[in-house]
Amino acid sequence: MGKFKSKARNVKSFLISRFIFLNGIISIIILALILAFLIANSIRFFSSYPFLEFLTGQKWSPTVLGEFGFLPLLTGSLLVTFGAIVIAVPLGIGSAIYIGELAPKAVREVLKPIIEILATIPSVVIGFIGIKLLAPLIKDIFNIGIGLTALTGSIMLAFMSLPTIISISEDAINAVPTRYRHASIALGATKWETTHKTVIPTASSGMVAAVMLGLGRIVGETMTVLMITGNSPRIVFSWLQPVRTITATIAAEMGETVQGGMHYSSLFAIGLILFIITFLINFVSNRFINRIRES
Amino acid sequence: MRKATFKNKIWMFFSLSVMILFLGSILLSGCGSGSDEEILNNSNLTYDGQELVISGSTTLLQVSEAWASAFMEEFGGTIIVNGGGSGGGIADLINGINELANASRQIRDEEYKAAEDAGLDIQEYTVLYDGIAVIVSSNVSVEDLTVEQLSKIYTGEITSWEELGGDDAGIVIVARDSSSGTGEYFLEEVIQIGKTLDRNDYSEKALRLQSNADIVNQIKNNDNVIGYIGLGYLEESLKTVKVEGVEPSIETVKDGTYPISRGLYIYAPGKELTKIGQEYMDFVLSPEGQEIGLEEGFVPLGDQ
Repeated sequence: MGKFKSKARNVKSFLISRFIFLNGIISIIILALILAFLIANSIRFFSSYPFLEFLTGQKWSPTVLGEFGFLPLLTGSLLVTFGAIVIAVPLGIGSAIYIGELAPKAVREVLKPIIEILATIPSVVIGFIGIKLLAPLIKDIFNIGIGLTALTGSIMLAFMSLPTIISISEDAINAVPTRYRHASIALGATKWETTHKTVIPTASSGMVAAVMLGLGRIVGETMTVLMITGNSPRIVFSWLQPVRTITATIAAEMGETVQGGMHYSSLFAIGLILFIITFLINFVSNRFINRIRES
Repeated sequence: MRKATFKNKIWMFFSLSVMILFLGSILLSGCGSGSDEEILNNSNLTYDGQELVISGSTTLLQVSEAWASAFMEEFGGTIIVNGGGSGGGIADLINGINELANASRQIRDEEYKAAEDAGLDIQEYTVLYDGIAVIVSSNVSVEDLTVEQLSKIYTGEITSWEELGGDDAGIVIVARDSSSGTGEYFLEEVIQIGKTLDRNDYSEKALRLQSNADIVNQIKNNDNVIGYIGLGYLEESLKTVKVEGVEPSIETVKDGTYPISRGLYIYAPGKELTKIGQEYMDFVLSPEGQEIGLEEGFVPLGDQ
């Protein structure tokens, strides 16, 4: 009887471990399938359009000229992303230091959950705010024709990535052992010197991971940029001009393409490149996170 | 302990980003097969228990829903109307997902061939006409443009209102994306002047917006903007421009004097339709169906 019971328990534990293994493996399979799907659909494009012309082409005119130049889309994405990071990093790291080191406990306990709630605002709502409030403001401040610009996109995307950056940076600051702070103060350092020379260097890899994850969110964001950056596919190096990002191009053009055709396949091709970019970003941030774990 | 929660957070964000990636890809693949859906049920009428699936052009979405609900009230049955764009509708037709495809452009050779390969004998029905109104911000004093001038504005050759007899101010161009049938038609008919200049494309400076409503919004809230919308979306408060001296209206589209008007189509997979499909087509082309089209701001076939 006892023997039977332990056998049943063995079977149960075997099944449970298999079940958990299956759950774990499914996400990997899904990821592989997504990659395979992207590759399969972009093969037609890569096999019939010269790759160099695609990477260095300066015109995105898929329906009229049949030219698929990636540069305008890439510069559009880079402009918006770079602007967003420039705005979000000082704000995000600054708020994280305030919340983690300086704020009184009561303030911290209110502030942190509120910032995390910001992450739940749907991107289409952020887009509305961009169109209705920010775009007219940008138009008036810079005295330009229309407020749908790269800068408008950068500001709204920075706003969207802040919760990620603040929350994870603050966790990294929190993870710095209290005894470091005590040791620093015991050596005669002021509060600011302790924060500046002890806490921030210790938490820095966590902060880099936070910024990278924020970056991942910014690069992949679609709805907001589609609504507020104006979508003009040309190469510009000014934040006060409308631009078109990779994501917005896919979302805007997919509806009317001939399925299986060249244009359709080209959209999968730029989707594949976007996937590779976000994959690399996540990979790098993962490296930084591992570094925290090891230390 | 603190360290553990930190790790958890990181993993939470990781799994979240994977999830977002996954959802994104579903969205991507789902793009072709519409979003708006309308299901109504009626009982004890001719076509009860029968179903008709229609998908395609977003230009025709509203009027199709109006046709569908009027049809179901009269004949029963269930008509499901999806969006998805003209390309999506035709792809659905080829894949056997719908029975009728709404399109605001004519079927392309590539699509026609794919349909032939799938053993379909594609039938085209012109169901309505649509005029495209050129609209400008209220501060713009220019009142009349030729198709050639419009073409030069949209290709970026003319950049100031001064060149057109207006104020000394830069022209801000807004247009629809290539996924829009309206945008495609405007490209071919106006920018390429009836496909005679087929290397002409939208100026790279043109802002590409997602809907008629977006265009109206930008025209209302900014100065010096030019844009275009379907006749059905024209409001009293908007300032229209005459094209070749003709005001856009249902009358001028009907009598053929307004130069920027196009047909709207429904495509069927063969000459033989299901009973409910055939009845629906008859209804759409009947005076009653055409009247509904007029109410939605389109121009009935009538006597054009």
